[in-house]
Amino acid sequence: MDRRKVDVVLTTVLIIISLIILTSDQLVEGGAETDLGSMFLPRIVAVLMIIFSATIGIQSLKKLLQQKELEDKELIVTNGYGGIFIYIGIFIAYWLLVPVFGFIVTTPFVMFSVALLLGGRNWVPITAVSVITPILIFYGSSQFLRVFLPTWSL
Amino acid sequence: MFDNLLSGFSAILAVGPILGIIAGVIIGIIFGAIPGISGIMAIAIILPLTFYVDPIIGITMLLAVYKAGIYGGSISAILINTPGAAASFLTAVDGNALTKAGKAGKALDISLFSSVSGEMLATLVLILVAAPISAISLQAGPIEKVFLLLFAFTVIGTLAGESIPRGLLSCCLGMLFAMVGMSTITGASRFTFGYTELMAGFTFTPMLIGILVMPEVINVIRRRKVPHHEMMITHSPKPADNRISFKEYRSVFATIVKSSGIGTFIGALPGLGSSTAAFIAYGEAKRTSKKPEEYGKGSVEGIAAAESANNAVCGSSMIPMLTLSIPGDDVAALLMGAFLIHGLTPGPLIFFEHTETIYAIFAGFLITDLFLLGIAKSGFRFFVKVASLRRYYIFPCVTVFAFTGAFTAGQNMNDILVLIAFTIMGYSMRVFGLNPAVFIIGFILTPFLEQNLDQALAIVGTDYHLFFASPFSWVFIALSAFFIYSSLRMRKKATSTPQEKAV
Amino acid sequence: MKNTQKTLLALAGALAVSFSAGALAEYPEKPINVIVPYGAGGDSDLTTRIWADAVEKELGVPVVVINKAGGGGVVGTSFVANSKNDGYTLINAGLGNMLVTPNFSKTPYDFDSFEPIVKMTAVPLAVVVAKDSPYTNFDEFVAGAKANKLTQGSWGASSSGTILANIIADQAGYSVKYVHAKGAAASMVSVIGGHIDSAVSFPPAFGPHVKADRARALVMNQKMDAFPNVPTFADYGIKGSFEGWSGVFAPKGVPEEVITKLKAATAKVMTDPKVLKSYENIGAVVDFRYGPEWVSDMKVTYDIMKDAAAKVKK
Repeated sequence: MDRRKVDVVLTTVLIIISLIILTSDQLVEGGAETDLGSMFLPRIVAVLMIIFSATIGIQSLKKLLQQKELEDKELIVTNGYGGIFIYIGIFIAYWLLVPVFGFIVTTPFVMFSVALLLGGRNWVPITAVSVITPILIFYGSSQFLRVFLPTWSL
Repeated sequence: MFDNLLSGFSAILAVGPILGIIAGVIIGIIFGAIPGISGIMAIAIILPLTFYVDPIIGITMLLAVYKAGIYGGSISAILINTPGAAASFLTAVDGNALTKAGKAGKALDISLFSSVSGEMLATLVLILVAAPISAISLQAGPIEKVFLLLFAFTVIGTLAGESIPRGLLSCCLGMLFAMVGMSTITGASRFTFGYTELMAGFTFTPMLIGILVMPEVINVIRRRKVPHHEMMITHSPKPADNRISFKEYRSVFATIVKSSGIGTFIGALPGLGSSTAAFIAYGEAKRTSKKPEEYGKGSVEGIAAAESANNAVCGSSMIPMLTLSIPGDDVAALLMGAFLIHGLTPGPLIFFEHTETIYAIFAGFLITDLFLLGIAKSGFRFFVKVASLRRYYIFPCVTVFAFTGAFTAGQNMNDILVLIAFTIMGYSMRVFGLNPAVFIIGFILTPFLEQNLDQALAIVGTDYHLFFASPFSWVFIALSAFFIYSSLRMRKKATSTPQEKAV
Repeated sequence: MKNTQKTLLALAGALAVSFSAGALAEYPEKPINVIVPYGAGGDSDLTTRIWADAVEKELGVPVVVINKAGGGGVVGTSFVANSKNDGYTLINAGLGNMLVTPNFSKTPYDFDSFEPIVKMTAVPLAVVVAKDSPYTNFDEFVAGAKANKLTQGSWGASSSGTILANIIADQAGYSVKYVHAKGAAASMVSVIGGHIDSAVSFPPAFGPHVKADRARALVMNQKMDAFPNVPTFADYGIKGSFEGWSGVFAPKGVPEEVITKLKAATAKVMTDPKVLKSYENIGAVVDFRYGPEWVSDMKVTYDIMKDAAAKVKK
């Protein structure tokens, strides 16, 4: 994938966001008056963002139009992205399921699937690690950290 | 003073304090090294335990956890490229490059030696000249701090890697994200779109894990088809690649001293923090280095600069706390709580009222450094072994630690969502060539900048010339200008050499 | 949907109480969380940690202090307001998050969303100047503030400090320019460094500086043994209570059992010399209170804050 195209799109989006920050008064609510005011710094940052985004965007656009050869770091390698989506999916499922099934029950499945995704096939040690680690973390954090991870709540 | 220090050593060299230090160092290294879990968490938890022991034991133990925790972060940064703090991001860049080249031992050694050296130097400064330094730091009011911060932003922007606009854009994004939530100054809620959950802004820990730690996990997932032996930590057969010789240490010693000085200075000014110190020291070392092109590709000097500055902040953040009762950062605030609860009120009088205790604690600081050196060094073999495990053992664990770390920060499931969102964002930033560490520093420094800017404006009123009335302001303006000039020249040099043609 | 759930829960709770006090007699049976809506290491945090550590032994279960900082205390406080009212989630309440912020910012909770349980400590507000300041007493300071525009350190335009300082200034007939630092401790730095003329502050923040003779407290809310020579606001004819305080509240509708148990446990530890010493060390005044009189006192303060808010917001 050509990063220069991404640059153009991304910087355009950022410039639009910055323009909204500069012009909209809906983004801030309540509060008292001070010398600086609530929107002073955000607006300064917005102006800076427009400048830097424009610099990057225009450079990339120029290179695109001149059809310059792609440099190493401008090439985004996209193979293996399927795994990333699966991983993010696993994490979202983890987030949804922990409040319901609790930490100790959910975590082994998550660890097991991540190990599987990474190509682990040594079933016995992987299962052992997936079961023991969450138990250790659960008791460790409740005994030493006094953090009580979510438990089964059905 | 030396009598006091000697009697301090005799007080600290007893079974109780030594056991406390050893326990503290081990806890600190472990907490620091686990990606996603930080030393400050351990300190907050241990704090009540120290109510019941002698302050010499309690406080040296807390400090041991603090120092070892800051150092511990560099272990996982070097071995599996998961920096636990913005400060160890730089260590991760250079250290992991060395690890990939089979020189893990060298990277671990230099980070340990320079950490300990930085801490030692800062502690000596604390013991010998704390009072005059704190008097100087008092001179830095809001106006001066605004200029100091502008200087910090300049340095960070100029060394932001690939291209200056991209670095500065990362910084701006960090600043923008920092302003989400309720402003502590005006009480107004900004960019919350009606969500109460956003009133606190983004929780720092999950964001930090998402931006700095998780992209490496994603990277490993993406390259999951690459066979294990190609990604394994290799061990160079040459023994010289796996350690730091005295000669090498001596060659970077000047860098260490300079970086520790920078770290000590930044630490003595309340609020800037260790990440800023590491970045400024790294930038300065790179600027004056004979081999600036090595930075970011496995420079021993770079690791030395970042780590010594980072750890020097530990020692020197005690300076304003002890002499002026002003805690420099949240860890110092916790430690100050420990002092107060033990009935030791920090302030200049502490040196007269509690001479014995305070010098015993100082002696404890120095001894902690030695223990840190010994314990960490003997653990290296073990750490390398753990990091050489197959990745389908390591990264499921990192996933769970990231989850736990994000949860423990506020015991809130919403923080997991923050973690997921910033994981995606952190990885995208890497792909698009934006700098995640600069993003984090922008995020950390913005509230500080806004607060000081507001104060400065309130003080100045309509007499704008007051902005330039203090010599401090001029010093930092001059430093910023010099830094921009010198880094532009450096870039020009770099572009003229053929292999670095892209800017 | 949520409301029905809440009503059902409340009903269930009421039933449980009326049918068998015995069923709830087991409180507490699992760890109790106390949310501190500010960062670790501040006075609210330390006060709560000392309390938690002491009552833990009375109650026999862990009492866990959790810092949920952000939004000037709004985040942690609203979290507790929306938690189950089973007595296992409590909030560290104070002037800021209970009486001031609900009047100034859009908060999803109010004073009435909570059941006050106990108040542990108070910290009297003081007006502080640097040692080399030309003002040696409050009268001189007032005269100075009337003549020149003086700066005064506080911690946020809608913070408890600024509101109280404003009420004081109104009564004494002067006005100052507020300089908002991160907290009372941070604004003391600017006072000693000579960057601002004065500050409002609490003993944990100014105490060490006054003791070390780098700062002078001109006037404070009440006499304290540690500062015997400082007059009070009442001495200057300024009416009102100007103190920060720290207590423990529970979400509204918490079982009576919980309140009684926590009160009893607190009453016991508040006589423990070790606890009292810890509070003295951090610069707080032990002010153990509970009951209806205390609640109505707080309501009075709440209304004062409401008026003040209306004035500032215009």
